[in-house]
This record gives sequence, C-alpha cells and structure tokens, in this order.
Amino acid sequence: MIATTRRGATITSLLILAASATTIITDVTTRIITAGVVFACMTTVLYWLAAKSSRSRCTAEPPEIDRCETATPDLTPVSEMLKRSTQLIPVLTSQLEVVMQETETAVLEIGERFMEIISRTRNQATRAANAVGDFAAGNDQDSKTLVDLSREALGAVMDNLRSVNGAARHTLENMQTINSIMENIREVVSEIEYIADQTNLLALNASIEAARAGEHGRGFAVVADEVRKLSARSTTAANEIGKLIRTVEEKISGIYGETEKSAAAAEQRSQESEVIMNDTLEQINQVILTARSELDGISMETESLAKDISGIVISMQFQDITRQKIEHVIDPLQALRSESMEMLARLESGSPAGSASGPDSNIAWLEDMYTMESEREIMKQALSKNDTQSAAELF
Amino acid sequence: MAHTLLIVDDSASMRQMVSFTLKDAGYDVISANNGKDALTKVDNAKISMVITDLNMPEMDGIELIKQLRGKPGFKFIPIVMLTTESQDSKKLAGKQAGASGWIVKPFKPDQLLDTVRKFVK
Repeated sequence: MIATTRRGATITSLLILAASATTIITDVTTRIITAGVVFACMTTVLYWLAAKSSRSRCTAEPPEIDRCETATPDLTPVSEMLKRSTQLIPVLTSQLEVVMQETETAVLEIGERFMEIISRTRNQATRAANAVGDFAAGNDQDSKTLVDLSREALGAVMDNLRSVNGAARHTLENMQTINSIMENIREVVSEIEYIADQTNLLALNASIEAARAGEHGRGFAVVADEVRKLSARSTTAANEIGKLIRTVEEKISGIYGETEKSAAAAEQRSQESEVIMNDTLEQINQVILTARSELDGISMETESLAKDISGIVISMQFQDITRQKIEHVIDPLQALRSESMEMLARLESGSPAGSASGPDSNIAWLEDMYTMESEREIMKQALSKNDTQSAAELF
Repeated sequence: MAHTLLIVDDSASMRQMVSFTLKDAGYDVISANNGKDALTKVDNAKISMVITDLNMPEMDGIELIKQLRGKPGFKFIPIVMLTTESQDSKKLAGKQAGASGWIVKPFKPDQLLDTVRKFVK
C-alpha cells in the first residue's frame, strides 16, 4: 500500500510538473488544451488514489485489519492539490473563451476586408470595361463605337473636301466654256473688221464714182466720205475689242492655270489626308482591340482573383469548427471541475470513496457530445493508444 | 426579383461566409443568431429557403424546423441543415422534424449553391 501511495504521489508530481511545463508552449490554444488534458489526467490519478486508499483498507490482510480500520490516512495534501487544480478550471475555460472570441472577431474582420477587396477589384474591372467600352463598342448592337463615329465624321470631312475639289473642276470647265465663247467673239470681231474693210473699200469706190459724176455726185461724195469714216471707226472699235479679248483671254488663262494647279494640289492633299485618316483610324482601332483584349484578360484575372479570395474567406470556416472543438473541451473541463469539487467535498467529509461516474460513461458522454467525425476519430485513437500502452509488447 | 434566404447560425463568421457565398450568387439574405431569433424574422419577409445550423443556444435547429413547419407559409419551404454534425441518428432526427437536406460543415461554396439551386428556381 505504501508503495502504491508513493507511485501515485510520483505520478501526481510528474503531472504537476507536466502542467507547469505547458507554460513553455507558445501557442495559447494548444497550451490551454494541453493544460486541460493534464488536469484531466491529474483528476483521474487523484480519483485512483482516493479509490485505492479506500479499497486497500477493505482488502487488507487480516493482521492489518485493525491498523486498516483504525488508521486514517492524512489526505489533506491531496485535498489541497485537488482544490488548487479545481481553481484552475475557470481560468482555463475563460482563456479558451477569450481565444474563441478573439479568433472570431479576427476572422470576421479578415472576412470583411477580403470581401471589400473582392468588391473593389470587381468595381475597378467594371470601370475599366466601361471606359474601353465607350471607345470600342457599346453595350448593345445599335450603339456605335467611337471609331465608327470618328470614321463617319472624317468621311464627312472628306466629302466636303471632295465637293470643294469638284467646285474647282467646275470652275475650270466654266473657264474653258468662256474661252470658247471668247474664240467665237474673236471670230465675230474678225467678221466686223472684214465688213469695215469692205465698207471702206466701197466708200472709196463710191468717192471715185462721185468725183466722176462731177457736180451731181458731190452730195454722194459726202455720204461716201461719212461711210468711209464709219468704216474706219468700226475697224478701230473692232481692234479695241480684239485687244480686250486678248487681255481677257490672258487673264482667264492665268486664273485657269492657277486654279488648275491649286485644284490638283487640293486633290492630292485630299487623297493624302484620306490615307492618313484611314491609317490613324486603323491605329486607333488596333489600340482599342489590344485594350479590349487586355481588358478581357484583366476581367478573367479579376474573376480568378475574386474566386481565390472567396476561397480564402470560405476556408476560414475552420474558425467555427475550432470554436466547436474548443467548446467540446470547455464543457468536459467544467464537468471535471464539478466532479473534482464533489470529490473534494467527500475528501473533506472523510468519505472519499463513492460511486463516481466511470470512464465508460464519460466516454459515452463525450461521444454523444462530439458532433464531428474527426473528434470521434481522435477520441478513438487516443483511447486505443492508452490500451496499447498498458498492453504487453510481444516480439 | 432575387429570392430571399434565411441563414440561422450562432457563429457570426459562419453567417458571414454563407451570406457572402449566397449574395455573390445573386440571392438576398436574412441572418439570425439562433432558432428563436429566426422566428422573429420570418413573419415580415418572403423567405424562399432556410439554411440552419443544428446546435445553437436558446433554440436549436431541430426545434426551429418543428416550429417553422407549424407555420402556414413554411409547410413546403425547403429547410437545409448546415452543421458539423454527421451522425446518422441526428440526420434522421432532422429529417423527422421536416428538414429537406443536410450539409456537413465545412461547406464548399459550389456544393452549397448547387443545393440551393435544386430547391430555389
């Protein structure tokens, strides 16, 4: 019996040492859970000690019966130890509750931040898509792209340029018509000059005939002279007209040359402008196509990023599962406390032994409380480990 | 108009995650902390589906289902349990109370949405 008590005391001391050692575990949750497990082991040992001391008194050999019945073992240190251990439970459970609360707050905040990131990323992608959409394509088929609108506007400018060139060509044609009219006038003037010459010749002949008629032809000589003068004036006028026609022809020819030159230059510039405009529009179109393709890539990347972040948010479900697992440690710890306090009361009242709930009912209770398959699996593994530890190792 | 789903879970982070998944898929969401809280929120809302946890303080998921099934508007509303509990006996209790489906936590968003789409069209 003494040996048993010593062994029990040694195990208890080792467990207390183990409990103290848990303070060097840095992770708070692991430390608290480990401390809880150590406490549970301590309680079991104390149970065992109390039961052992009681049982030894009842199963002692006859010569020891008197000593057994009369000797009252001093259980004060055990009571003290149990009291100290019992005081630990509320501390441990409070620590676990704080850990749960802090983790939940942190997970909520992280979740909110991540959701905000997803929302902002999507907004940015949408804004970029809208911005490029204004250039590239409308949301519906009827709306025109900026390139389409630019092409239309530039087409209108080109039409204006072409109509200006057409007007110039029309002016040139008109000038050519004027030139041909001037040629007709020149012919008419030549005819007038010819008529004037002939009239002059007739007047001269009339003067000669009048002179030959003598006195009777005097009056006719005057008329012939007047006709000759008119013919001379007709010739002068025709000459003047001829000069004016030449001047007009020269002017028209000059204007025609200049107009033709500028019309040709304008035509060339129009063609060059059209090429430049088409090239520019094509470049803009290419830039927009590239931007749209890039944007499609960004959109896909954004969606993929959003999905990855969503995955992170969803993976934080571990917090709810961890919380439940911790709750499933807190509840047994509190039950252990109640049992320990009951045992303490029994020790102090001098009747430590009694019908405490056995390990099997505890296991059944735990199994019923556990909701997760993983919890039940861990319990099974832990229990089978205990069994193998106690069994003999055979070779 | 988007369907409105009621999420009942005592874990704030879980409510946040389920709500996030459903809202992202275009559903409207109402959240409640437990069965009792849920019952106060169902009367003024047109709920298309309920997703509830099992173990909750004040009123658990099974009791909530029983109470909801007693309401005229909730006789045929799909109610799916989303819980860490995977024991067949508990699932049977849920089914007997009137649950339409059972999802074991941790949930996968696609799995949750597939289930919702099966019930809400």
